[in-house]
Amino acid sequence: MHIEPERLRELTDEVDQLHHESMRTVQDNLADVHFGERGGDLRRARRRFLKRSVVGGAVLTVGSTVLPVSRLVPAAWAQATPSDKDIVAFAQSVELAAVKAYGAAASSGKLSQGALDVVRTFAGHHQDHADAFGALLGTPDAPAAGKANQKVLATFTPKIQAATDEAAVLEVAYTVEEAAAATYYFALGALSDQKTASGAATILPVESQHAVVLATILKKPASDYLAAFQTGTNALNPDDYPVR
Amino acid sequence: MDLNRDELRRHLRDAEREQREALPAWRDALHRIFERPGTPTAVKADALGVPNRRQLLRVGGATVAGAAVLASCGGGSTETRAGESGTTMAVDMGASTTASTPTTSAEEGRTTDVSLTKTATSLELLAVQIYDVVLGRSSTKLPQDVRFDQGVVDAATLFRAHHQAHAQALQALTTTLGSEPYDKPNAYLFDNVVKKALPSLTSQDAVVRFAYDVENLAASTYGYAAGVLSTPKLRQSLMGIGGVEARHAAALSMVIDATGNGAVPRSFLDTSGPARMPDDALVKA
Repeated sequence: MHIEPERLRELTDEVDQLHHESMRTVQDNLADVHFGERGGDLRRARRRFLKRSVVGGAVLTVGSTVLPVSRLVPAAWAQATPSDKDIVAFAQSVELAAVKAYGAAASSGKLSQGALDVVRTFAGHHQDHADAFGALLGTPDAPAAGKANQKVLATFTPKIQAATDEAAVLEVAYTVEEAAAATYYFALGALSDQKTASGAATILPVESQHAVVLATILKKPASDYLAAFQTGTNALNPDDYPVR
Repeated sequence: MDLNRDELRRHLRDAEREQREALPAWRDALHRIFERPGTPTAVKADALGVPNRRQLLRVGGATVAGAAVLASCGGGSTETRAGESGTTMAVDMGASTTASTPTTSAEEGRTTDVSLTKTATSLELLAVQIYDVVLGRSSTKLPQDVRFDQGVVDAATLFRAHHQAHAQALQALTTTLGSEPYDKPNAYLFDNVVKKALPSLTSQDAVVRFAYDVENLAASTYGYAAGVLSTPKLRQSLMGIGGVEARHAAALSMVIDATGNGAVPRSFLDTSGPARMPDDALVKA
């Protein structure tokens, strides 16, 4: 990894500026969230939080990064209150779509052996995630349960098929991984069950690491994939990518 | 708000017990995974929480007996101590339509939250301290001059800035939880890990591997904390940081091996006792 000196200064300045800004608002924002929920009905609180976030156009502190909530909260997640089961089913559908997308990448004929090894490894990780979610869901009670998210596939697979070289294929994979990491970030703020959240917390870092590996291979600038805080920006929206 | 170390360990044990109780369902899930040809036995054993390693934390050649702490609190055999179900994604979907059902009171939960945010702060400040040593900005010096590639210097500079930002965010979080922000690097880890590793940090490769271990330790600690913290927002906030520590680790791994083959060694973040911060390093609420 090499960062041009000027860009490095910009990055560190940006980090410094972000946490200075956040210091002004973080206490109010977080106190509002934490103290309102403690010992109460988390689902009610979550609904209130999401509704307020969108209707009020609030500013949310993500780590120390202050961003408008509208940039972070997928619209459907904000308008409705998905159950933990809904979230798990959505996550499973995204994981299965990632497996298929990686399958398309592997069979594209555009990848070198090194890239192929990476792609196959990551596909295996996504399959593991999907299997774990599938077991949590138990007996499928909906026709779409256990199936790849069709809209995610429709979005990304054609891009892989149209890719003319290895970099183009891996670029699509990178986009999928960043979206997945952001989606888990958002899910962690929405999952009410502590143990379910605990599981999601073991997956978010793995998707993040996938993104780093792909970005490094693609020689992307560090600022693209090494921000100070993970956010929900570019999270996949269940309304745009429904499980069906 | 005050909580002694024994109480804190009890809370953490409770969280571990809940995870263990959910383990059968997780095993069902893994059963299918394990049917896949080619999965190494060690990976299978580790994923199931079978202790295939000694309960020791290894960072940069230094070894810390971490998980033995809980045993010293009385009760619980080695097999039931914190951490051994750490790689499990223990979930009870039956609880998904109701609020979380923590076994601790709200006050206990809040106290644990404070302890974890303070501990995380201490870990971030330790990371800042470590990168200061690497960058030659500290009174603590590497044992000899090490010539670093510019890319490594850039990474160390950027990661240091991230850790400083994380520490400040966590301090603000601690304040919102009604406690005083913590402002010191983790003394236990400095004494038992950094000091012990320092003499061996004589090359760029050794330093990068040490930083890699520290970042992994941080990521695992955050992942573990996410299963203990009492509110969704807290879990999200901490994983907004933990995910970045994992990115740091992967980036450093790419310095060690540019192929990327070893950068993401497992499907799930390892949050087991040996992987995360030892309990002796916890900061009191």
